[in-house]
Amino acid sequence: MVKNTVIVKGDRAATYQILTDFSKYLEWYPECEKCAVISVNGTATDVDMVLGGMKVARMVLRYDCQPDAVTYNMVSSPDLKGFTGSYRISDNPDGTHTVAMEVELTASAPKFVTDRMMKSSLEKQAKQLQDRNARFAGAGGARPAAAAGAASSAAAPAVAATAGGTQPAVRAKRPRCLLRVRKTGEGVSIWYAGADYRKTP
Amino acid sequence: MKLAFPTRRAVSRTLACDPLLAWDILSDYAAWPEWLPLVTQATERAREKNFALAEVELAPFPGRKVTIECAHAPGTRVLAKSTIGQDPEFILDWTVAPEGAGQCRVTVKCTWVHTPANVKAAMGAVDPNAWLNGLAAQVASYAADVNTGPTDPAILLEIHETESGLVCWYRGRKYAMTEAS
Repeated sequence: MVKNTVIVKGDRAATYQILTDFSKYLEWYPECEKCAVISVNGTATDVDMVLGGMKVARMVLRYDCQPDAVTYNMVSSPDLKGFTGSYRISDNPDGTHTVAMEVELTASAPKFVTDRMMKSSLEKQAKQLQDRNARFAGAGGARPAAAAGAASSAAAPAVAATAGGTQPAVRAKRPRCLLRVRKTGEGVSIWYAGADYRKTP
Repeated sequence: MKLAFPTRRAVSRTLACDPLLAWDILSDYAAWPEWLPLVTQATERAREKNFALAEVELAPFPGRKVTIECAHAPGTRVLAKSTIGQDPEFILDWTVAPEGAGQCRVTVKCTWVHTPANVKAAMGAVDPNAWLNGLAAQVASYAADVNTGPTDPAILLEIHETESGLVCWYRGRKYAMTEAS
């Protein structure tokens, strides 16, 4: 398992957005030559990915996107024996956040070769994450809406609420029971907001 | 130097509802005051994909707005944390897992940073058991079906809130209620 950590100064939400926006992996993931979402099922997203480099590796990866971690496992590949890894995001007291990256590539090539390739890849990814997050943090339309929505400054809500596309949608209300009166042997019982109140004559 | 005492508590409970219903309630941040005793007011400021930004007023600190950033994984998890530099600092980490037919297991992990300034006010309010009581009560209010009405003949009256207004079932008959003033 090859590991790397990077401290990112911008919004944590922007980093998360970068890591989970698979259609844009081509823009920052160093060896990525193709990344297309095949299916989404809850937190799991299957992605058809092609990585370049010394040799082209085609694979289907299953990403599990949790709020503080994005993990992936190889579902199938004609070129690799295994490809698993994760990005874990944690806050730092100074307002920055750390992304801990790890990856395990198993192929027919010797392990010291694949490990060296992955080490180089993670270092480039770390740099790209920092740069891309910094670009999002600048003024302009490139900033993802989610990043604007989860900015850490106290002034953020006003900014986020007025930014296009970040206004919270009005949620469809499920019908719900507010009050129920039931006849009992002794009188009536009144159910209100999850609690029963008994009334006897 | 700032004195701070982080505390962590985790409480779980099985609720008689679909996991998606519990998650739906948990991720409706604007409706938290309806069931979460810790929160008296909440406004969802922004929402995009798996993130939301909300402003809440907490019961122990009336008049003080706290901005929280929320990340939610559909159907399984809701994580809300106060943004950095605010008082109080806290993280509410809710997880929802299916547990048998029509049931789910809800766990809330609360990390709360007590400081000398907030410890007295917050002590009674940081009560995950009370929060799960509130959630259970909220879940129960969604159990009845407004379309079919009460199936138990002993129920005389039921009032439902729907998208189109209040609906009343009285002695087996359905009525649409209109606002009088």
